[in-house]
Amino acid sequence: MTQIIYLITREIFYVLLVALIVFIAMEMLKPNMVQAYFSLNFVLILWLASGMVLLVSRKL
Amino acid sequence: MKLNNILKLRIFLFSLLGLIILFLIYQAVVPFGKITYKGNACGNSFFISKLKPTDRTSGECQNIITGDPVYFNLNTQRTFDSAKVTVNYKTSDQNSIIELGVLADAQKHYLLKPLENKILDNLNWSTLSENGIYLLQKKQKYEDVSKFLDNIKEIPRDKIATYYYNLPNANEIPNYGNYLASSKAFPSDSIPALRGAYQFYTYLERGNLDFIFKFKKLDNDKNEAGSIDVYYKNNLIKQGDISANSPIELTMENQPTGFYKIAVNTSDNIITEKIKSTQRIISFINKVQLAKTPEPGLITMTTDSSEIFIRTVNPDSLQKIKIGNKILNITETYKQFSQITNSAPADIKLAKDGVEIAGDGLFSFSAEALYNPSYKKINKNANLENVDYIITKYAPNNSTDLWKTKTVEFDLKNSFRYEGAYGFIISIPGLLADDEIDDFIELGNIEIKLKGRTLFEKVLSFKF
Repeated sequence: MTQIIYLITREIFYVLLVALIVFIAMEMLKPNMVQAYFSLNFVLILWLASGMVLLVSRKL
Repeated sequence: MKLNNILKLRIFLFSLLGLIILFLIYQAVVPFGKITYKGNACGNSFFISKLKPTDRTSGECQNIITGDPVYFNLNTQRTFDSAKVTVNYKTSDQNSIIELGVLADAQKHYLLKPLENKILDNLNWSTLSENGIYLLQKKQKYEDVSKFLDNIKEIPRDKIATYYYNLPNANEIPNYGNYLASSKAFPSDSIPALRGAYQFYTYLERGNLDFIFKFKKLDNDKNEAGSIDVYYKNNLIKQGDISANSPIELTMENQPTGFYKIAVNTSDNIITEKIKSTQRIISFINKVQLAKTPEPGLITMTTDSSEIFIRTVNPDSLQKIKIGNKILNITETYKQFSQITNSAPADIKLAKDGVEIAGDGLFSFSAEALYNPSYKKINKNANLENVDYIITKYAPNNSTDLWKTKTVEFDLKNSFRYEGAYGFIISIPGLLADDEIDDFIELGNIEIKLKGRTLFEKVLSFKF
């Protein structure tokens, strides 16, 4: 079970990392392109949370 | 978990991310040139901002307008050519006119369009319409709008009123020779120092248009100037730059008879110290700002406005102003005071300058210099006793619904877009936040349908 959580969280962590980089690049290219719909802080918090879950599940 | 399943999850998550990115790009580029933004006063839309300033609004969502005017912005990712704005609102039935406008230029002029006019809605006159033009007749004489327009020169000008419809201005002043003989010396001598931008009408009966402007900068460190534009029959015929160093001579020889509009476009940092001219008609349009001077003396003005609005930012300029037979007491700075004039034209007498005077008509600094070439316009104080015909682009609608939905279309190509936003205004003349009257407009939903060039059209018109 822990292994499954670890694998799923890892995938989410990677996709959120890519999302964050792409969204920041889009914002730099055209301000408010992303932030008009959702806050980048929200993506950052999700990414950090997934990173923490990933670290915990890796130790177990 | 099998490797195959991990791969499936990865493909799913990245596909989801790809779709989100495509959606965001599509919304920003709007490839087909059409998009609709919806806003609710209680919602938190990025595109349609909340009403400002908040001291003119009330309610939990600040959607109840209690003071005039209020503003909101439409933030867009790209430019558009036109906007269809649909507003859903409820009124307290105490204000006769509601208008919606879009910011037209950097000087904060708004292009207004009617949303509701109860004066026209409640008129029991015969109404004709043709190609979006409405003719209201006290007694039906014309069978269609085009017949009325064909015969307009035969109808006395004071019998016609307009509302959001531009009839051509008068071309000439009848018996101008007699007028000249009866008028006093050059009216330009009585014009005091003016601050910032202004526009005025002047009249010429074949000959030379001559004006000399003397400007001064309030703050020499600011590198600001402006321009003087001369219009004849709504066409720009001459443009000159403003300089605070030397007087500006505006001379145009052998000009045709008619009314000329001169617009001085500048910031509040520029003072027009003196205007010199031999022209007899100098009628300022809608607004003048009297500059603060050390010894102003008594200033006398004449206006044909039905209501006058006065405001000052100088504590020294607080005063009692005589308007017709009434006294308007200016007791506070940064507050607008208003007074309805009993008769048109009315005299305004001020002991101190440094005030901004505005109204719906013209202002002059001597009675002889005032002449309005435009037709009477319908406003909230309109007196229709002597009016027989009203021509308008507003569709009178006597709906009794509590919540009303109205749509107004704007041309955004001629509007001013600042930092990715179009500015909008909701104007309700006479709605004051700090009066004792419990009047309001409650705003529901706002829907803005935008139309612009498609991505294909943009690519085709791209120039290297």
